[in-house]
Amino acid sequence: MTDPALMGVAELAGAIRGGQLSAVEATRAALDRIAAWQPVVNAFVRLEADAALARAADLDRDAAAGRWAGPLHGVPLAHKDMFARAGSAMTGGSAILAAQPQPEPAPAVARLEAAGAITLGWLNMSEFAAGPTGHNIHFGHNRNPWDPARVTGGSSAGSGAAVAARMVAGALGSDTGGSIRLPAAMNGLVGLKPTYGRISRAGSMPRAWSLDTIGPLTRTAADAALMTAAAAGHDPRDPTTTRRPFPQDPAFLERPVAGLRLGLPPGDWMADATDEVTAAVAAAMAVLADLGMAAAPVAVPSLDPFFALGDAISKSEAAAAHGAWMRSRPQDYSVHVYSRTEAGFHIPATRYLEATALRGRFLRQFVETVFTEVDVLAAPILTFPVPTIAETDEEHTAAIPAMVARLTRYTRPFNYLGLPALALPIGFDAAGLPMAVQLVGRPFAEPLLLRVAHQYQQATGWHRRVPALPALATAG
Amino acid sequence: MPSDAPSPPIDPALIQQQGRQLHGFALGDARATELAIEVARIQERMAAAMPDFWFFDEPVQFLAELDALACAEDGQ
Repeated sequence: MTDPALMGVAELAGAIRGGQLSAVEATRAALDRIAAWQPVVNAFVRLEADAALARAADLDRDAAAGRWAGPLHGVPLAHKDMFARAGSAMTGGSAILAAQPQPEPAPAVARLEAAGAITLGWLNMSEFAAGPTGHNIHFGHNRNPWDPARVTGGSSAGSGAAVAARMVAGALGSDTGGSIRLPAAMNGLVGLKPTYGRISRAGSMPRAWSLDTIGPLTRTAADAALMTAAAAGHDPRDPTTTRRPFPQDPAFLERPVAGLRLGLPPGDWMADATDEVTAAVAAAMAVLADLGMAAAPVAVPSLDPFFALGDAISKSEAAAAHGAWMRSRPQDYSVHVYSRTEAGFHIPATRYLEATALRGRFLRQFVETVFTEVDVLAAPILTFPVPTIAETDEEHTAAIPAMVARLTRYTRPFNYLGLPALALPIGFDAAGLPMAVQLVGRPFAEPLLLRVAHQYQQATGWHRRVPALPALATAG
Repeated sequence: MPSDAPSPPIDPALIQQQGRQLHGFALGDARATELAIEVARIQERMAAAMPDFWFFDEPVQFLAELDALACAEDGQ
């Protein structure tokens, strides 16, 4: 049988349900893998091995008695360290949050556990979910398993590294301006930023509440569908959550995509892309066309206004949330996070209100312009290679906004619009680093995006490539 | 209502005063200058995105629009 640590969420769940594998065996395999890779990628900030093994043993006893918790029975997962949980501290990647009283447990994690998932531990991240690279001065920088000298992307940095390194089969992250899609793209994973309101954010650390979303990072779209099905749903503690159901039967992934309309990335979005990225995106579009999708150019409004409006909301809300700590504990912030938040104190309230008031109007204009012409819009995520940790270790305050803008140019606009967007891995460049494209849909079109991504993965197989464990000397 | 006009360049001294008097932060001259440039840039880009006239928009409409603009999903 395949090493359980190399199995995805759906594969593990199937093997456990079929009696070929126990939850304890799956958990031990993950713990062995974590022991090997943690010194390389620094993905975990806390491992709860004993509790996880005890829970796995309980689940195995339940299975033997014919009691199944749900579709994730016995599957080991780990999550970005920003979800409250009874008896567990949460750091938010910061030096401050662990000492704060915890709110009620986060339903996003609790629902996965209710479906049978085992939480192995908590994952490193950018400080206060505020960086697109995965740098962290408090817990050590996150490192990319495909090349430990490279960034993981952030802020769900450990989520990206842990799943790519096969330490766990799946992880939750959060996305306010690209924080699921960037680490997914840089680690060769599927990352789903769902529609605003699809998954409850109660009990999770906010970055900017008008933009925050919670979603999975996995190796396959099928795995992401399983996790989303378990985590999604209305929650009275998060009044933005929808009552719209998410399909529980993964059979929807197998429905053909032939006839669906695919909007190709506009030329100006790809204008600064490297030749390798351009070729990979074109090849991915050709695969989708071969599957029967009708691929064609589509007129798309400029994303610049949505970037600007989202940036203003993000900075304003972050400043409101962090003001008290920034006054009383400035020494506990990195230069990066402190300086990025400062501008929010000087954006007039009237500007912030313009950005929030007009959001529904802009969303309608965008959807009526684009999604009457196509069912799925393709967009770049990164148009250049995954950068190194050193070249993005920016401490000059004047240079930080430009670096962040370069990385989030094609991700942040879709947070402002609230639309679902999926990072789809589409191959590797000559240096062996992952490349990706973004699939965007109408509100609540996550099932459609997952279906297209699933069919693409069945036709290609990039998700089956596994990073090699480097010698520790090269991890530095 | 007519959208607010683009902001003129912002005086770093204003940023320093705002920081100190409204928010309780002391800012050096160099950092205040950087922030003045950044805030002016943000305001300029936001102003460029605003429609000429708007009146009946409210933040809560965003959630209603998300729901209204959805289509029937797979598997349902």
